[in-house]
Amino acid sequence: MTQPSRIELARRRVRFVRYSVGVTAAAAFAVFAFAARTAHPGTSAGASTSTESTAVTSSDDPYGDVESSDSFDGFGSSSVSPSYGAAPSVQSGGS
Amino acid sequence: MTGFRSMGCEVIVSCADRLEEVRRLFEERDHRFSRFHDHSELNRVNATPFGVTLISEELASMLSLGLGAAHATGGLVTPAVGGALVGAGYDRDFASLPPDGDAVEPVPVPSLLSLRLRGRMLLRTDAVVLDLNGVVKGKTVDDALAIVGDGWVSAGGDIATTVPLVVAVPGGDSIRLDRGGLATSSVAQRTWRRGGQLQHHLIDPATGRPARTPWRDVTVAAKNCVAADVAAKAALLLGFAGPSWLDRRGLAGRFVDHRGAVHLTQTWQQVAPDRIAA
Repeated sequence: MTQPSRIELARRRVRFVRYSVGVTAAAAFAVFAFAARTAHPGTSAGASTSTESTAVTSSDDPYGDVESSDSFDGFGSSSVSPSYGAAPSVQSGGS
Repeated sequence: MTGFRSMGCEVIVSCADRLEEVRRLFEERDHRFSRFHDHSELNRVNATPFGVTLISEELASMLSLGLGAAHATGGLVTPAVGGALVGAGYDRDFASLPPDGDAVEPVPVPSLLSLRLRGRMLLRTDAVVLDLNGVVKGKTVDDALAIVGDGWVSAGGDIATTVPLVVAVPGGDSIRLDRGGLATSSVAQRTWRRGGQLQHHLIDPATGRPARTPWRDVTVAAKNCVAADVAAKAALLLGFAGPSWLDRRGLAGRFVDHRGAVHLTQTWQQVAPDRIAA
């Protein structure tokens, strides 16, 4: 049975280290998230559950996991109408 | 009416009274969120695009807005697009970009599943280079308008107003914007070449390349500037599906194709008919 080459052994070590870093980072994030949530006034002991944020998305949201009060809140609508030939004050275009 | 340059464009404010406050707001946002300032917080975060990072409240707020925009557009307007922009050659301020260079290969846009944001804690489980251009300018225009009060603010033609304003749009027409936001996204601006191939700043997340789209300019009106800008970018990236995507959301949109022909969404036709609908 052939022994793995030095290159293969090095690749295995790199894979192991990357996996370890990923697992450690995820664990650290979970700890920080738990600590932040526990310390948050909206979720601390004695706080009314009705005051909890409703902006939290589920962890299986395919577009990321966000907790914030300043998230994108939709497109809404504006009020536009014909200009009837009035001279424009400003140009839109090119962002 | 007065102005200054910031974020690579001309900023115009309807009145001079609050100009210095508005200028400081733009400069602060530009220095914090630009990929083109060596010492910006965004660049510090992007220097290690993997793992857990504690970010400022300001960056967390803007990134949250960017993730919300990604959610609202089905992932089309995403803050995870930074690596693909750099891969396409957009690696420095546009004014400093060489007009051509070596050929480039597309860089895949990471899934937003690779991003987690909890308060100020950012976790990236894959290499994610952030770019917040999808929301920073529009949000700053909206916040500047809050400083101005009654009036309007325009940054590179992305506009927010509380007073009626006549706005010229690509193709030679004009429209009256009574309130809210109006923004135009274009593949005709900010173009460069790599390996002779035309590149632009609107990346299709599905390919990691600058989008191939039938539209040259897309103008959208929405409740504020950031919403209009996000919707305009999404509609442009969606190609022929862009007009119906806007109509389903009740947004007025105006499309100019590469031959200069104008197409209006049904919503735009209802509020300001001037051309045949798309």
